[in-house]
Amino acid sequence: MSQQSLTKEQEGVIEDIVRYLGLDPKCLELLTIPLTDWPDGISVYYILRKDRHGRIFYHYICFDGEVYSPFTPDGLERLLNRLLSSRRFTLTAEQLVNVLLMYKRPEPFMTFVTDIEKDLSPSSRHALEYYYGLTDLTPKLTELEEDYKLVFWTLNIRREILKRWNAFIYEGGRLRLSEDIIIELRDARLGQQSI
Amino acid sequence: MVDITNPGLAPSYNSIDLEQQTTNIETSDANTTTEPEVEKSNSGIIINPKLGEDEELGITDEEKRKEKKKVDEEANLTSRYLKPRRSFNTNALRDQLSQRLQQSPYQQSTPKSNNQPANQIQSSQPIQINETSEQLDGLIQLQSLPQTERMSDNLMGKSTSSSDGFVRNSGKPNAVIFAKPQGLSTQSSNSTQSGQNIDALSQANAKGAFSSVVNKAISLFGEKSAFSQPTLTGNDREQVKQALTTKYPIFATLPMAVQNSIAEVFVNQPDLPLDTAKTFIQFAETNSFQKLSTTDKATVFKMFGTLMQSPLFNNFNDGRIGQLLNDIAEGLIDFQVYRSSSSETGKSDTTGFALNLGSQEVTSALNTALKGDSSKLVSILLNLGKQVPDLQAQDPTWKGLMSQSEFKDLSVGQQEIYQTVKQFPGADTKKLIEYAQLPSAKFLAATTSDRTNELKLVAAVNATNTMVKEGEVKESTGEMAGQPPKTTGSGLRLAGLSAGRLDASGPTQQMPLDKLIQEGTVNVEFYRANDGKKNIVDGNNIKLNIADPSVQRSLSTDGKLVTGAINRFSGVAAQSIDEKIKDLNNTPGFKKLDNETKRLIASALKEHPNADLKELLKFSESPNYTEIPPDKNNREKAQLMRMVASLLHQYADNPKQLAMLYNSLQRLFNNDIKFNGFINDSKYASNNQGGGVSVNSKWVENEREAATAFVTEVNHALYERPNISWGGTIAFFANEYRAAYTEVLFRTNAEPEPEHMRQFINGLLNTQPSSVYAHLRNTMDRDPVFSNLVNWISEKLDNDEVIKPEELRQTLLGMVGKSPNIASEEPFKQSWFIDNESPFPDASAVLAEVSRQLHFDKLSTKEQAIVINLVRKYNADPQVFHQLMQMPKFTESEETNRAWLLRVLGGLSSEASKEGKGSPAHRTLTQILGGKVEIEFYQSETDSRLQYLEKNVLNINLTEGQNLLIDDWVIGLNDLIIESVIGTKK
Repeated sequence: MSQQSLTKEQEGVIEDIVRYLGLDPKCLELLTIPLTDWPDGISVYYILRKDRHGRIFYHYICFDGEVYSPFTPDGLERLLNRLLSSRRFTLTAEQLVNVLLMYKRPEPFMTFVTDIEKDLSPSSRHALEYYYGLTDLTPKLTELEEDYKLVFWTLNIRREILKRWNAFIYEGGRLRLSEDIIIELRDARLGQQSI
Repeated sequence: MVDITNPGLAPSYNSIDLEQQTTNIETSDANTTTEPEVEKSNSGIIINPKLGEDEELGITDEEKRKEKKKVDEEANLTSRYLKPRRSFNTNALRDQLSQRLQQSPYQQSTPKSNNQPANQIQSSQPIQINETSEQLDGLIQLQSLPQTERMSDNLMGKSTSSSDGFVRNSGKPNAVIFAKPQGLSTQSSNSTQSGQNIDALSQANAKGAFSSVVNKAISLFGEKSAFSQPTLTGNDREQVKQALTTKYPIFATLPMAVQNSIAEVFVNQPDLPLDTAKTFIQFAETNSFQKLSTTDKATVFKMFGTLMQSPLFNNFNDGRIGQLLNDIAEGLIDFQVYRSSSSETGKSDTTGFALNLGSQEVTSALNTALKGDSSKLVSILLNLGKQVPDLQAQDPTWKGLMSQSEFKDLSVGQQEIYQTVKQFPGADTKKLIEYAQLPSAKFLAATTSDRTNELKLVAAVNATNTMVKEGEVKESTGEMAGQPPKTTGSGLRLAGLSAGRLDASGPTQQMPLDKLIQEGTVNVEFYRANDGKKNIVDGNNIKLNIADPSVQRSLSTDGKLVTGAINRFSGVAAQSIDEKIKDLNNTPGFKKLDNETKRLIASALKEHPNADLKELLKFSESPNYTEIPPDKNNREKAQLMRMVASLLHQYADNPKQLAMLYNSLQRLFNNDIKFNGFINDSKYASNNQGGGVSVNSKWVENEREAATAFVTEVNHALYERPNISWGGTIAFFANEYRAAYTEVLFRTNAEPEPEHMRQFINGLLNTQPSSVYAHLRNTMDRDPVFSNLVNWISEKLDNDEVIKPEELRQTLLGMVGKSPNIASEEPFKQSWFIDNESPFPDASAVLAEVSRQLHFDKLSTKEQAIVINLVRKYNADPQVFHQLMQMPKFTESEETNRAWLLRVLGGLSSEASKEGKGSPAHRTLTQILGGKVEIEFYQSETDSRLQYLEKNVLNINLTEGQNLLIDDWVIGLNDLIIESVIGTKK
C-alpha cells in the first residue's frame, strides 16, 4: 500500500493489523466503505489480503480519529460505549447492527437482513408470510433505562437459515448476543411446494 | 412485616391445604359477584363469560356439553393470530387443567402435513393452559419439533428424509426452532449454541411475547366442575408432577423433594405456564442449587415463579430478567442467598451473585412480587447480575484466559472453562481450551451446565493423571517415561469379570487415561436416570448419572468421586477400542499401523461404522494426517480422522454424493490439497489458502453441512493454487459463484435454482457496511465492467437460466484486460468443469483419452481397469503406460507381474505428475523406463521388506505388496523405490 495516500486514521488501521497479524503492509488493501446517513466522525474500513487466497477479511471502525481494533478484547465494548454515550447523534438500529457484525460476527456466511423484499427470494418471502406471518425483518432498537436491546435478523446465504438475534448492550458497552428464532427457509418452502 | 424467609412465620409458603383454599376462594367469588363479561378474541371467537357459583350450579347438562364442545374447539383451533387458546371461562380453565393433566402431549401425533395456511391448520395438541399463544412480535408460533429431537436426528445421521440430506418434517413446515438464549458474555459477545434437552420453543415462548391473561386467582382444583371432568383434590401436586414428567421426562430424575418443590410452585401459581418448568429443572441441576439449603431451594423456586409471571419477564422489548434467569438456570451465573442484617441487597463477584434475604429492601421486594408486582425485585436482581461480567473482566484468572488467543476465539466454552478453572485452579488450561476448541457433537449439543461438568471431569482427570493400567507406561514418544504411576481407583478389573475376558495388554489400555479422553478415544458424558447407578459404560463412553446427588456433589467440590468412577471404568471403555482393533487387524494394511493410528481409526469407526476402512487407511498414510504436529495432544489428529470417517459414513448409502465427496477426499489423501487445520473462529465455516483447506472445528454440529463445506472449499482450492496470484475482485466473485454452484450440486444432486443463485448473489453484493464481501459491492459500484457482468448473470436468472461455471469462465476470459479488476487470464486458464461433479461413470471419458494414447486392446480387462483407475484417480500419465507396454519386460511377463508393473510404474507416474519434471519421482521413473533399473518380483512371507535394490535390480516382494495394496495403490511403495533408486528420502 502506498503510505502517501493514507490518512492518519488509515495509517492507524494498517499499523494495528500489521501489529496483530504480523503482515507485510504491501499485501494489504484498504477500502473505505462509503457510508450513507451515518454520523460524522465515523469511518469504516475494510481490509483484504492480496498475498493469498481465502476469504478472511477485516473491518475497522474509527471514530473521531480513534482506531478501534477488532483484535483487542475490549475493542467493541469501548466503541459501543463511546458511540452510545455521544450526545451528538443517536445511532439507528441498522447502524448499530452493522457495528456489532463488523466486530462480532457470530456465524459464518450471514448477511444482515433489512429489506425482506431485496434480501429474500419471493418463495421464501411467501413462505414466511404464509406460515409465520412475517413480513417485516427490519431491526429494532429499544432503550431500557441505561441499557439497549437490539433485535435483528440475519440470513445464512448458503444454508438459507434465517435467524433472529437479541443483542443486549449494557451500560459501558458490554454486549450480550444470542439467537432466539431459527427458520430454515428450505423447510418452509418445501411445505409450500407441496400444496 | 412477615419474614418470608422464616418457614415458621410464613404459612403461605408451606404446602397449602387445597381444600381450604378452594373454600376461601369460592367464598370470595360469592361475595364479589360481577356481571358476566363477554369477551371476544381477535379471531372472532366468543369467549364464554365467567360463571359465578350460583350460575354454575344452575347450568343444565346440555349447556355444559355445549360449553365443553366450544372449549374443545377453541383448543383445537390454531389461529393465524394466535390469541390465547384457553377460555376465559374459569370453569373451563379448571377443566382444561384436568384435561391437560390427564393427557400426555407426547402421545399426540405430530400434525400431519396438509400445507394449509396457519388459520386452517388443526392442532392435535390439547389445550395448554397458559401456553404462550400470542403472536410473537408478528411471528406466529407453530408446533415445532423440540430442538433436541432435531439435533439428535442430525447427530444420529437420521436426517435423510430428503434428497439434500436435511431434516424434513412430515408435517407442515416445522422450520421454526426457538433457540434458547445463549451463553453469558462479559466483554464480548459470545453466542454459544443452545442444544438443549428441553424444548427450546417454550423457553423462548416463556420469556418472549407471553401475555398473561389477567384472571382472578381461582382454584383449579375445585370439587365442583361445570363439566363432566374428574375433580382434582388432594392429589393435585402429584398430578402436576405427572404432567411435568410427561412434558419433561428428566423431571422424574430429580430428587423427590425437588420435584415436590417445583410442583408446589405450579400448584400455588396456577397461571404459570408449564413450559417454564424447564427453567426450574435446569436450575435444579446446577452447582448453585446444590449449595442452597432445603428451605432456600423452595424459596428460590417461588421467587422464580413470581418473576416469570411479571410483565417485565414477558415483555419482549425488554427480556433482561428472562436472560438473567436463564443464565442462572444454565449455570452461567452462580446464584446464592444469604442473610445479613446489613442494608445491602446482595453481593456480586466474578462468578455470580448472592441475594441478601435478610435485607429489608429485598424482603419487601419479594413480598411485593408475591402480590403481583415484581418490578422492584427485578431491579435488584438486574443490578446484582449486571456487576458480574464487569467483575469477571477484572479477574486475573479471566484475564489470563483471555490473553490466550485460542481462548479468545472460542465461541463455545469460555464461561465453562472459566468456571472449571475457578474450581480447579491447577487445571491445565491449554488442554481445556483444546478440548473446547475441537468439540465433540455431544459437547456442543449439551447444556452449559453439562459442558462445564464435562470440562471439570477433564480437569479432574488431568489433575490426577490417572493411568488406565497400573505401572509405568512408555508411549512411543516416551511420554510417560520416568513418571511414577498414580492411580486413584481400584484398577482395571471390574467385579464379576473373569481375568480371561479382560485383555489388559491391549494398546489402548496401556495409555494414560487423560490422553485417551483428550483425544476422544474414551469419552466422558452425562445421562439422567433414576436407575440407582452413578455411572455406566457404553462401549468407549463412560457415562455419569448427573441425577445422582453424589455425582452432582462431587462435581461441585473436588471431583474425586467422579474421577474415581471414571478410572474404575476406564479399562472397560478402553478395552472396547482394543477389541475393535483386534477385529480390524484382519484387514490388510491395518496391522502395520502404529498403535496411535490404530486407536484413532478404531475410535472413528465406532462412531461412524459405515465409513470405508480402506479409505481411512489411505488417509492415514497421507501427509495431511502424518504431518499434524504431535504437540496437539492428538486431539486435532483424532478430530481429523473422525471428520474423514464422518464424511465417508454420511454418504455411504448415496453413491452419487459419495462420488462427488470421494473426488474431494482423494485430493486430500493424495496430498494434492492440504488440510490446513481447523478454524476456531466462528465467523468462518471453512476457508482455503495456500493450496489447502480449513474447516471450522464446530463441523460436528452438522456433519452433512460439514461435508458440503469441505467439498465447496476443495473446489475453491483447486482454482486458487499458491502459484496463482490474486486475481482481483471479479475473479473472487466468479470463484464464489462457482463454489456456490458446486455446493448446491453436491447438496441436492441437482443444479441450483435461479432463485437460489439470485438470493446468493444478492447476499454477496449486500450493501451493508458490515458485509463480509464489502469489496465486491465496492467494485460493483465503481466498475462498469463488473456491474455489466452481474447484470448479465441477473438477466439470465430472470429467464430461469443458471449460468454454468464453465460458461462463466469463458465469458471472463473474454473480459480480461477490459478492467483493472480483471487484469490477468491466469485464474481462468483451467477449465471449470466441476471436479466434484464427475461421478464414477466418467471413467468412460478417461477410457477414451487413454485409448487414444496406447494400445488399450493389448491389455487384459484387468490390466485395462488398473490403467484407467490409476489415470483417473491418481493422475498417472498414460504415456508412461504406453512406454511400459513397449518394454520386453512387460510383454514377456506373466499376468500377475504385468499387473504389478502397471501399478508400480503408475504409482511413480502419479508422484511425478504431482511433483513435476526433475523431481525424484520423475528421475526414478526415467531410470526404470530407460532400462537402467530393472524390476523383478518375488514372493516371501518371511522377508518383511517390501523392496530392495541389488545390482540395478529392484526386487519387489509381492507378499508384502499384496498386504498393503488398496485400490491399485501400495502404501509407501513410491517412497521406498525412490530412496532405493536415487537415494533421495522424501
